[in-house]
Amino acid sequence: MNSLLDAQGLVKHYQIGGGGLFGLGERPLLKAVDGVSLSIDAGETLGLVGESGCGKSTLGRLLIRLLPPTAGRVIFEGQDLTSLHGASLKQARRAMGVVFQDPFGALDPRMTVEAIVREPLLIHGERADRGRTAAMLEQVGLPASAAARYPHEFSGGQRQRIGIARALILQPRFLVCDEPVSALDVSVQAGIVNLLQDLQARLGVAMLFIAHDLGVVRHISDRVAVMYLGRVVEQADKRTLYARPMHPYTQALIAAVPALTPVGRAERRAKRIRVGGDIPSAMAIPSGCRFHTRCPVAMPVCRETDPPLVEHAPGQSVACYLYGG
Amino acid sequence: MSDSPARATIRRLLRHRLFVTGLALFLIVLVLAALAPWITTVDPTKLSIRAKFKPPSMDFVFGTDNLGRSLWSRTVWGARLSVEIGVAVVVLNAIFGTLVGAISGYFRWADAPLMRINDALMAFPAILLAIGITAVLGPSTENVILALAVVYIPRTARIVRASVLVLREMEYVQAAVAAGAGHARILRTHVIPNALAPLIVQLSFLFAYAVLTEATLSFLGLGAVPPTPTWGNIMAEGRQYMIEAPWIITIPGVLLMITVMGLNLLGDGLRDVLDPRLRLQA
Repeated sequence: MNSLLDAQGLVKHYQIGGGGLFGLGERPLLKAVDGVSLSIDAGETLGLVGESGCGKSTLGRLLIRLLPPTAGRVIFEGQDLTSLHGASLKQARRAMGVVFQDPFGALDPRMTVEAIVREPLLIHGERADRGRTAAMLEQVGLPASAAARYPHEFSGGQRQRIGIARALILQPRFLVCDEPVSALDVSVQAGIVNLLQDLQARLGVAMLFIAHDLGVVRHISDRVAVMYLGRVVEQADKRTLYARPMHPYTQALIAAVPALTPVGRAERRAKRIRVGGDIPSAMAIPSGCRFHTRCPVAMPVCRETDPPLVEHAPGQSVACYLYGG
Repeated sequence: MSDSPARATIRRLLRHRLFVTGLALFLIVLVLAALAPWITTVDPTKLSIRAKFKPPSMDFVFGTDNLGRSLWSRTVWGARLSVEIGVAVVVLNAIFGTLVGAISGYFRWADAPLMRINDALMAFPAILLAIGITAVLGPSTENVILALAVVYIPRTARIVRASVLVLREMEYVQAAVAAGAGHARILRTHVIPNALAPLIVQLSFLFAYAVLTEATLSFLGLGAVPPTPTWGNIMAEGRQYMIEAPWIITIPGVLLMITVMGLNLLGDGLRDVLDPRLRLQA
């Protein structure tokens, strides 16, 4: 266990509503993240994929302690993040960065780009001169003239670059990218993904790359974890996962990635796995395997007991009774 | 060079017709108040019984009252007092309203207790609470300021709290948390500056309410002690001679109207430019 980051049994539950008069009523529980363990090595990119509302953003925030977990631990560089407070937590945050989805909400509209990028340096009492922010802006592909301007003067893709500059200026060892390209035009997405890939190669930062489709993740990830209703249902090397997806949910997600050639399309149509309906509510998670309500190959056992995440092939873990377990 | 949001806002304000009209009206009152010692030649409390009930003329621009005091001097010094009280109440609100609102909105544990106190104060009609407080403390300028601050701070705090509740969840605040910023830094650099727009709108209306409520209190004899001239007590005295000497009550009344109307137009303009969402609700 010498990975950079180790999450063990992470759980995040929310109590919804006031529970009636004087809080005496029963308060429904929203299980956003419901028992996730994963690890990320230094310099590695883990792609995290799942539908909206499956808890992937919550998981990302738990890993960098933007949210306190209900249960479980996050071990980052040998330190239990969940037990840190005050100065030691601040110190740990130095080594972690985050890039958000919404390029419009992620930048303070009243600050210049330079002030935004410089802020992490100021927080940690570091030298925050013009040269340093200018160098960072250049690394993310923004002109030096951007420094004195305000976020509203930039396009979505450029704003995302500003956010990336802010996240990387302290040279973190771990970066959470929470759907960094989902809100961008397709034409701009590739630029941001390539930039992240470049920077990662240059800086050696480990990344959790969150996305809701497998297409984007494929380019950038070393390993991919698929999340469904607060759980990781499959986790594997990128190559393995795309070539031989095991979990029916992963198979359906891969089938949903649009094919580029007519031949590929026909081939895919033949063996397409369809998943109907919507993701169930995180406030009423199905018993047994949480995917059985939508699973095309559900068996009686799936309704009864919850399949554990088991390593079925080297480097490939699946939570599904199709493979024994 | 690029345009800062602040400078762009000022430019848009100056193009807003209502804002400029309101500003002009309010400036009339501000100028009168600021120049009071230089533009009045007669002591506002100087009696001259021989000159009582003089209608507006060349000698007395606004006429004289029942005791022969110059109404020009009295209303101009009254304007000064109104503006002083308005400024004091606005400043107290800006400080304590922001403090209570920001703490309440940002720190969840503080929200319930602070807001219950707030609700209790807001449950009283503004004027009744102000009358109650000045009645207990006794009539004086300081007590009027204190009463008006107590009455209006909960309202200001509510507005600040509402913006802070939204702002604390913004991703740029989350980004600052992730970078290791402490609460003080986040409140100072991200939350409070971004909560200012609705606060400024509120404060411009508050200035009008403060002037109006102060006039009401001193009309009722609970404001600054006579013979100190205030618009309220000039009107209270003039009320008895409304038929014989209508100018006594009319002149401060018109000035009060100009002040309140000016500030309301100014506030509407600020609201349109700073906080367009509010316009849809209004």
